[in-house]
Amino acid sequence: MDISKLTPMGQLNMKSYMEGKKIYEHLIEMTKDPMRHNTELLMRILDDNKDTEYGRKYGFSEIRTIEEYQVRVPITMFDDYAGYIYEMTEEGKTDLITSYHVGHYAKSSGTMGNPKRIPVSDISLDILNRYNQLVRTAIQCDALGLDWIEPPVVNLIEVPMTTLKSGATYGAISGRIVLTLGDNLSLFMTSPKEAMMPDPKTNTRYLHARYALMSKDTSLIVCSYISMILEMMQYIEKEWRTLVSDIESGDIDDSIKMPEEVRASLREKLRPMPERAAELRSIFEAGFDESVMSRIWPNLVSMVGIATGGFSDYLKRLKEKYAGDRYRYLFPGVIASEGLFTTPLHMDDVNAVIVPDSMFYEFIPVDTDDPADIVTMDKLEVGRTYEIVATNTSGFYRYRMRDALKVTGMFNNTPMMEFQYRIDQSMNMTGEKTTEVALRAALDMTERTFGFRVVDFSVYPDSSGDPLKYVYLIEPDRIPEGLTRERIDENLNSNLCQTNQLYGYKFEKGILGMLDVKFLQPETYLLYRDLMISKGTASSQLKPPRIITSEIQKRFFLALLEEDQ
Amino acid sequence: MEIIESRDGDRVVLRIVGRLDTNTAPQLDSYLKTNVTSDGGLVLDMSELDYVSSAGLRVILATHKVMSNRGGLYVTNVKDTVMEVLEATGFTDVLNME
Repeated sequence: MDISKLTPMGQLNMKSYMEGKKIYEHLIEMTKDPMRHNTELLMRILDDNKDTEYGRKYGFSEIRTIEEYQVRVPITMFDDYAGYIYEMTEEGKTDLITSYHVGHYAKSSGTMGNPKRIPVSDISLDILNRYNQLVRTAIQCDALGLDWIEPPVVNLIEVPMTTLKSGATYGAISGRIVLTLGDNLSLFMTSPKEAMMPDPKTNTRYLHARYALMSKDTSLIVCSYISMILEMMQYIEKEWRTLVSDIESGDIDDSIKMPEEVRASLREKLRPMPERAAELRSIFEAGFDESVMSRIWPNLVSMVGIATGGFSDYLKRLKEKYAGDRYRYLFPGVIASEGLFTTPLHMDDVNAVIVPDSMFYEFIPVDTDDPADIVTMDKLEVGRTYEIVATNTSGFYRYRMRDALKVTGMFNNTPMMEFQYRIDQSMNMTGEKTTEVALRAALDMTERTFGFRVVDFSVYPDSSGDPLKYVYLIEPDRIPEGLTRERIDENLNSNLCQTNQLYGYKFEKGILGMLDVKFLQPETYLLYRDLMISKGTASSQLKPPRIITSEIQKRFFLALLEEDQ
Repeated sequence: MEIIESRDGDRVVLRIVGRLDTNTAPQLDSYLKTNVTSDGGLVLDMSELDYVSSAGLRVILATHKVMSNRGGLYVTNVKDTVMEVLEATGFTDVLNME
């Protein structure tokens, strides 16, 4: 390939490919002896942080082995750092928990309460950038060919960002990673900056969809969670007439909400595209089916987004309704505000390998949930599920992540893991520990049995009666005529007994009662999303509230039940 | 659903009569886009609003965002049954309640 013939964006992508390939090859080398690299990283972190307040408190300078580290330094939760973080963010203090520069604080997703500020060191951000952008580009180019590099990307990630008193930025970690593209952002992304760094009053759904539709040659769609692509397509299906009319005229319909200065700024740049509009009109008038994405974007080959755990169902629906089985997918691995844990090695594979030089790892088996059973990477068992306990470069030491990951295999000598569920997000009334995966699987079976679809659902524990029971709150897409809730209750309960046998045991013994299904009003989950965004949650961080854990959430959903319940 | 418009100084007052649900929410949305264009603020008088659903709340929330730079959105005379919904969903913390 003659690189000089590529566009500026193409040349940048080629540079990313070559750098990413080097990192990828180094990763493969590390996977042959991961414990050596992981231990070296731990010792480096301890040495670099021995003079911090935390380091002095726990004698980092005297620690020479992993065993000594485990004896001297306690396992921690967020509250152990909250005081330090307050001083860092409000008073600009340094060298409290980390000696590395912290240029960003990630906003954790939370429920409806106050989000946490998670420190992100520049080192951590660099690792995230290397794997998220450079290695991903290398994986995709190797699978799809180098001449795939050219076209622009539909990127649905939004990066609302504020600045704290300390001068550090504050916002979702996914947004901060995108910002590392700097001035090259507009080269890569179809959406304008007004959508990527939005004013809260801007209808970004419209902007992402419109600019994506305008870009016929797109070959890649990128988002945090695959559900965002499904939402975009649902929006297009509902609003295509307005979108096409605006693309044709080059204007923005007055019904689209945004501040006037944003509207003016966009109008200055937009031009009429009558041919593209005619093309789209013809496509949409023919109807929406599993071939529609291929008709809108004939060059589309790949999509990137998290589709594991609670998001797997969204991928299934995206394929059924709009995408078919045409595309290659890259599932990003496990990334959290605390850092990068795993990275994919191939496309179309939910398995991802632990990155040995990202942070130091320990693991607690979820089936014992006993810190005394903590192990290092080399002691993991394939097929077993663990909670990660992380020591990172951002000031967290032996920090319980409360995420459950399953060991799905080994790559060379390094475990491959897949996210399963959030540990605090499992239903556990009597020790039955029903995960999101089990709740979802049971509902999938019921949907197939009766032929109805669910927009989304949540579950809460009902301890008001005897016996205790689960309550499923479901926003249905369509319920077949004559299908009663009682029949759904029985079928769903039976399925849940299969997807979680311990639940089945408890039900049989009368310890847990028959579950209850209640229907939510149409648009309830869209309302939840709108409300959370209006309260400051980044759209890229919004996760479905599968298990209702707070009274605030419960009140919210119970206020929006269908009238006959 | 009926929408009855009046004025209170610079503010437009809309009295919503009946139900604001999946069927009628688009009607309110359309009315607001077409008829409420001033910057003097907007009052939703809910004295005759019997019911509000998720779809209706979405329209109210979107209007609240738009009106925040145009004199604000105010909600008044809310019936008990509707107030229960606004309180339970956290809308009373978000909206300007009069």
